Amino acid sequence: MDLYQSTVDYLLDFPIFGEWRDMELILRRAASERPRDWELPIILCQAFGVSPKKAIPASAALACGQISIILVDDMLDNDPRGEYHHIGHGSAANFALAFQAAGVDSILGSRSSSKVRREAANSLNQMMYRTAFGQELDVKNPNDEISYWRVVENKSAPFYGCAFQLGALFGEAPTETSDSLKRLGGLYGEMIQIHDDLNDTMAEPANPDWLQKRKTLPILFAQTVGHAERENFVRLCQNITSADALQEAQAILIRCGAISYCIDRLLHRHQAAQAILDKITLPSKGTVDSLIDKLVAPVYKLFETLGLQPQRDVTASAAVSQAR
Amino acid sequence: MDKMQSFYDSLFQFETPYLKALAAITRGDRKQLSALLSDLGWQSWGEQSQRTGVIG
Repeated sequence: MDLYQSTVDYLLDFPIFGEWRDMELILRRAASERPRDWELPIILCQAFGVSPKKAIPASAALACGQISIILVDDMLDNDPRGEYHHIGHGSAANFALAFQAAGVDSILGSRSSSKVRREAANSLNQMMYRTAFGQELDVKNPNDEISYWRVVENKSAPFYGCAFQLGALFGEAPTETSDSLKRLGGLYGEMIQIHDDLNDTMAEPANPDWLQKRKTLPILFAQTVGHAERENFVRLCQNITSADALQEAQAILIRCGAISYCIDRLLHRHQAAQAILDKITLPSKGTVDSLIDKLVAPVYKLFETLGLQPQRDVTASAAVSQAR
Repeated sequence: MDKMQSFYDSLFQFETPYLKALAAITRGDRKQLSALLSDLGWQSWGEQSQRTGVIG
């Protein structure tokens, strides 16, 4: 089964796609990028021993939610790839509304039980609420750590929490288990956010986050913590379009412990995720374990490459550090 | 005390193998570390998640 083709085929059965052909074009374009997030409900559903076909409405709902969010997010971020450059802000907003509604339709039009449809529609709806709130918080560019995590909890975590929960619901998981998997997905989303922050700040040339003076976690750390190079870092940030300034600022991020801090936060979330997984009984747990482990595998490879502590010691110490 | 400052204050105390490992990263070379992150798949995750629009 090709998940992306199946998702498109499923959605095209809904009349609005026939009537509004540009919706079909946007959907097909999104599917052609084969977004790996669309796979998450399938993977979670399979973990309950249920056929992936049964989770197609869940993947379709998530896909519609994601397209809707991207249409708006690109406008907020002035992203050069944004659809609004071609069709205008008003039309982009209209498509965003339509895809949000299509997501709910995708669930309500499925052949699942009324309980599954009700709970899944609620999950999608709560995710869209939270994400809109998180986007609004993010527009205000948080400048302290508490505000930073508040944005992450509202902007990044709900999408992945919903992705996990939808898969569990379509896999006929008990409510308690699907709620646990929603929390697990939320942590997964936070871990992806940390990855994203690391990538953005260490990329060359300067990522838009630098140029728009957005505070990713490493930048926030370097600007906040009382380290010896803080003043120099703040000064370099004012002239970050210069390649020399960017390289020096990135070197400071490493020296002052900002990158180490991101890795620390990543490992803590991995441990919290593992604790949730340990308490859940799943017929096929390996696939979910593997999803979570993939996000920390680079960290352990990094430790190994630098000739540092073996995985088990590091993890055990992280638990001690977290408990403090 | 906030978490970031608290982490910074303990990072260079080298009290545990874990902190020693994290502190060793601070001595890493920028180019090497960026390349390493890229090789280890961090870049691809970043690009993918960035495009979701939910992130970043």
